[in-house]
Amino acid sequence: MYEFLTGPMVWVAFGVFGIGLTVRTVLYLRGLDWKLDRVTYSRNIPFGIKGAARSVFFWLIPLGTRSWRNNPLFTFAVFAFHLALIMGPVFLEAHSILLMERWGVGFWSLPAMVSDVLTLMVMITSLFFILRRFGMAEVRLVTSFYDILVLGIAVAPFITGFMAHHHAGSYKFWLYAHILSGEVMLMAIPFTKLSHFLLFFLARIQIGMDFGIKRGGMKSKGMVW
Amino acid sequence: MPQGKLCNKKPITTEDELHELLADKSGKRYYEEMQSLDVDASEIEALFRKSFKSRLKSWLEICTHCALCAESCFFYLANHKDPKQVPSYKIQSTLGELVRRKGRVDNTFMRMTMDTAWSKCTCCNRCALYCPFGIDMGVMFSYLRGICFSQGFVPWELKIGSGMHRIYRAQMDITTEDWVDTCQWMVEENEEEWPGLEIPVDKENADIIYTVNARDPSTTRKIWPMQPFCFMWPEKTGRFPVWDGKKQVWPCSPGTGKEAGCRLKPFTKV
Repeated sequence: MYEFLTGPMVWVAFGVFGIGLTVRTVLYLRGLDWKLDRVTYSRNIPFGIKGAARSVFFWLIPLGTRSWRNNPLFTFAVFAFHLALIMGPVFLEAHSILLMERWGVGFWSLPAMVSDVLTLMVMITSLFFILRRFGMAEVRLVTSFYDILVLGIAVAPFITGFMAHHHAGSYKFWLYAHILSGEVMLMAIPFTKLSHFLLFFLARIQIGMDFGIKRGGMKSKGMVW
Repeated sequence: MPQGKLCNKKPITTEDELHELLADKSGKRYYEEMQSLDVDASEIEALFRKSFKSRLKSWLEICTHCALCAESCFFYLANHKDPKQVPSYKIQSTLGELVRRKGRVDNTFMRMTMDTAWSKCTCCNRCALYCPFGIDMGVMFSYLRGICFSQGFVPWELKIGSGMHRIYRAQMDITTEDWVDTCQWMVEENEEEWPGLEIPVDKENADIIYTVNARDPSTTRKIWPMQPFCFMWPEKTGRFPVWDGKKQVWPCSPGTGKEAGCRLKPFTKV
């Protein structure tokens, strides 16, 4: 079982993840149409780039946009969640050791205490998101089982990994659960709204270009498209 | 019922059709027919295949249902923060559903969609500014309106309005000839009181373009001509006229540009 989960399944998981996201990117770019979207992408490139850069930049800063500023607690939770989600696994000592054993290439890693804090941060902010979903009327109405499921898929590797690392209960069970949930998460990314991993950037670039070219970005420059 | 006499998929293209629709007071018969109008799922699906591409598709898919768009929408704010007015909810329950079901929806659904698309969104695009992904529900509702229109589910007034635009190229039945004629006889009528009054048409290299809402020459002919007089007045009297909304025009000294602007502000109730 262990060999299967850490052998072929890993390849499948990363394969689906990589190929899936590549396919989505290609399909997205091919599906853009200046006549349908009414944005002259290829004609006003400098304005498009400027709009896109601004759009991505300000939304990647906490409190960088009005919407973030209007919801400071939520913003803090979102940034903490995503930071921990990315930094945690990438800079985990255990993962680095695995890489070293497999391919002889190590990766700089964080002290164990910091990794623990990051993992707990993912769990706590996820709890906050669940509470927010049911506590706020406007969020409750748009929430469905799918949202909870996707959040569960994203958090499961962290819960199981935390339990395995601290040897709580059956180590074997939590380890297998952790590996499997990690693979499930990787495979789910291209097919669910977890694809915002990539689509956030594509969508923001698109809307940034839209605003940069069409909705005011070219205000001072001759014909406004 | 596939298509009604008044309520159908065909846009208004002739004056006869327009008058027939106008004659149906408040669209009573029109809306009655709409209750049994059929929905052509294959047509909707074909429309989606042609026009529902990356941008719209991704927007509907990656919405994380965070409801940050809520406070951007003045329908939400004006309706005591009614959760049903959250832009994400509005679009997912209409266009989202339509896409998920590939157009296989019933008459009731289309009427609900029409109601949402036209009375719960002005396509102001504010939500795009508040959404972390830049999802633009205004654009999507605009698109949805097109789909509803193609199936005949459009509000009565707007079917008339779009028909007007198609036939008269304005939202009311004023043709180019009507407009020019009206300008001419406005001048003739008032020439005695305002010697030298002119409403130049197609003047080349003019500094100012004067346009009116089609409603003005159509229904408010008595007060409308006052507006062109504002342009000639400073030349004749050295003063700037001010309109106080009671059909009285008060001249006042312009003073400095900024001063004049401030003085004019409270009076411009046209």
